[in-house]
Amino acid sequence: MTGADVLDYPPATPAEIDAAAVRCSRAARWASQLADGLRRDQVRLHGAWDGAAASSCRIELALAAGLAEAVCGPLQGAARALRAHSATVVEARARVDALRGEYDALLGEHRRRVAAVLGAGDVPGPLRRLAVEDLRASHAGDLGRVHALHRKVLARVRADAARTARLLVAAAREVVPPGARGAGPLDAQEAALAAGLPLLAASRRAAGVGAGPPPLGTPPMLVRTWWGWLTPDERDRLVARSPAAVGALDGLPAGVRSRANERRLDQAVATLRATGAVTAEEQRQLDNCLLVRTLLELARSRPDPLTREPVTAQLLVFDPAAFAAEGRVAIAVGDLDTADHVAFLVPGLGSDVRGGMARLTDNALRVTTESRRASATTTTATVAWMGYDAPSLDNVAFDAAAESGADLLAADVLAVQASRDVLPHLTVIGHSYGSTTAGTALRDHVTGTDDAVLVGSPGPGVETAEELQVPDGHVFVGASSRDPVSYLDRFGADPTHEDFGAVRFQAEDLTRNTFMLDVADHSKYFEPKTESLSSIVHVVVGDYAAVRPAPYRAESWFLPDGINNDPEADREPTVVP
Amino acid sequence: MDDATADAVDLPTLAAVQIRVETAGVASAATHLAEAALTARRLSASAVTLAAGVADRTLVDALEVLGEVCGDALDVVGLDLDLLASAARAGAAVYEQVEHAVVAAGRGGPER
Repeated sequence: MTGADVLDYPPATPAEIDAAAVRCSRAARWASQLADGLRRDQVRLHGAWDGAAASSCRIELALAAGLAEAVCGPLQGAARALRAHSATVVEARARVDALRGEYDALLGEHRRRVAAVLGAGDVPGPLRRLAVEDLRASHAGDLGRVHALHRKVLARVRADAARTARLLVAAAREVVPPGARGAGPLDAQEAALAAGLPLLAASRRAAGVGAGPPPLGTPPMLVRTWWGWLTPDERDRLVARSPAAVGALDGLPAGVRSRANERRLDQAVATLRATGAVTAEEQRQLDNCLLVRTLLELARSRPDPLTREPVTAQLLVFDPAAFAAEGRVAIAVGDLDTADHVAFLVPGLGSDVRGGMARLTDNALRVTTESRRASATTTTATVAWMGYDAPSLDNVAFDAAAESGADLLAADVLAVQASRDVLPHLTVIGHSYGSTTAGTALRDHVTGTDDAVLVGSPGPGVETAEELQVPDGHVFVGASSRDPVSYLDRFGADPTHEDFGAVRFQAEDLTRNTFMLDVADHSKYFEPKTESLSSIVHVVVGDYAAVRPAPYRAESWFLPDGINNDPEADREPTVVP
Repeated sequence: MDDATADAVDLPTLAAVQIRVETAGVASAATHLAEAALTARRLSASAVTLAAGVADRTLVDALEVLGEVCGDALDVVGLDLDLLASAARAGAAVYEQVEHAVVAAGRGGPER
């Protein structure tokens, strides 16, 4: 092993940074040439045309030349900043080279000394071994010092890269008119730039071009109609210019929203990184953004079990600042625009992006891929819906979070329905307190949901299945006999009882606690090869005959509900292939 | 309002407007503007590739922000030049028609 094996160079090479600097310089030069050409055209026009209209055109041309010129300074500034950073990297690489040399020299010297000690035949063996131990300790100290210096070099490069990034973002802000700087400059910047050119602004106003997307809260069907009127180019521009607004518009195709939301995600990461996440809230936002990006990449790296093609993943909802920066996110695994079956997974207690999105997305991935196995001729998209402010232990005993979450859930379900030409078969799956939220949504809203699945439910917020606005016989309940939460019936009636009117399916897990209630058994409903996942998936694909029915629990008036009241308690769980 | 008051109202005075147009010159300028619009759009497209080939994610993100803003500005310039080019072209065509009409009227031809 040599120094080159253990002491890395900084990640970026001077050549690639220099190349970026050259691109910035070149763009600045070209923009400057464009501005010069426009000024020549202005003179040419002046020689050929006089009058009020001519005067307006010349003024407009001068302003356009000014705008072209306005990008030159920032681009040149960016080139300078990049060159300075490149010099830092060159210096750092030279330092790493020196450290590698030092490392190799230390290694050689150490070997030489050890050989000398071992070769000293006149020294007794035990003393030689002690001497070698001393040499090793001293050598480890020397190498540690080299490693520490190497870490310092890399840290200096990282700090310089962050400083350079801040300069680049500051340069970008110089281009935008002062009034449009600040919050959401990227959304507003094009309109602000166009507003500086009076004839263009008037023309755009007259033609309705550049009028941004409809405001949030516009009915999804109207949004869909508006979107249908736009040309492909106009659509692309809107996604590029107004990602936050487009990504949040209910009624747009999920693929479009995903593109916009991912763009918004990238911008949020860039901004938070460039300015530095200074507050705890900003740091949480940055962490959430990076997590969402990773989860999308991970989902897309998984193959469809039948075609082996990568699975589609869409960022349907993305608002990193929502709920005091806990974040509001929904990732669809599968193509929401074309899937035959769509399922929404609604999580429960203590769920937020940071603490629960990875597991929820994993569950969605399982539902989608297992649905493919259950129904090879149809496709499924499952939404990992972290779309409400799920309760914490402090307020889990109350239904306020479910009430507010229900409205958000219904809106997102309706948005997907409204965006589709052909309505999908739609299932809402609530786990734990998420079943209360889901039940409340289906109680209070007409969403076009075909099936409701409640697992590990502390109560769905209603007394009978009939109160849920789904077709008769299409409420399904999964409850492990060992799951303590499923006995709570805190919010409405216990859905595992026959008089509730749901279909109970088997949900015992091989790894369940042998003889008593166990909180761990509250979180096994989506585990692979379980009875529960199998039945959930068969509901999702509409294959109701394959759902494994389970006997209902009995009400006991003498004892608290518990394992003894559940006929499933003594049945041996099965593994579903 | 009585009649006397109505009679006292002045008629608006017409201001003389001077226009000088050299149609060929305007048409040539319009062509230049259209070419410049194309250049601006090409520049806009290249601006969004500023980060190409850079490995450091921090720099990539920032370069994308810069490229996006510069691309927007150049895009707007392109749109404006297109508008000016088409306005100038249309204006030149109208003036040309007026010129022909005036010439024709001077020769005693049909006035349009």
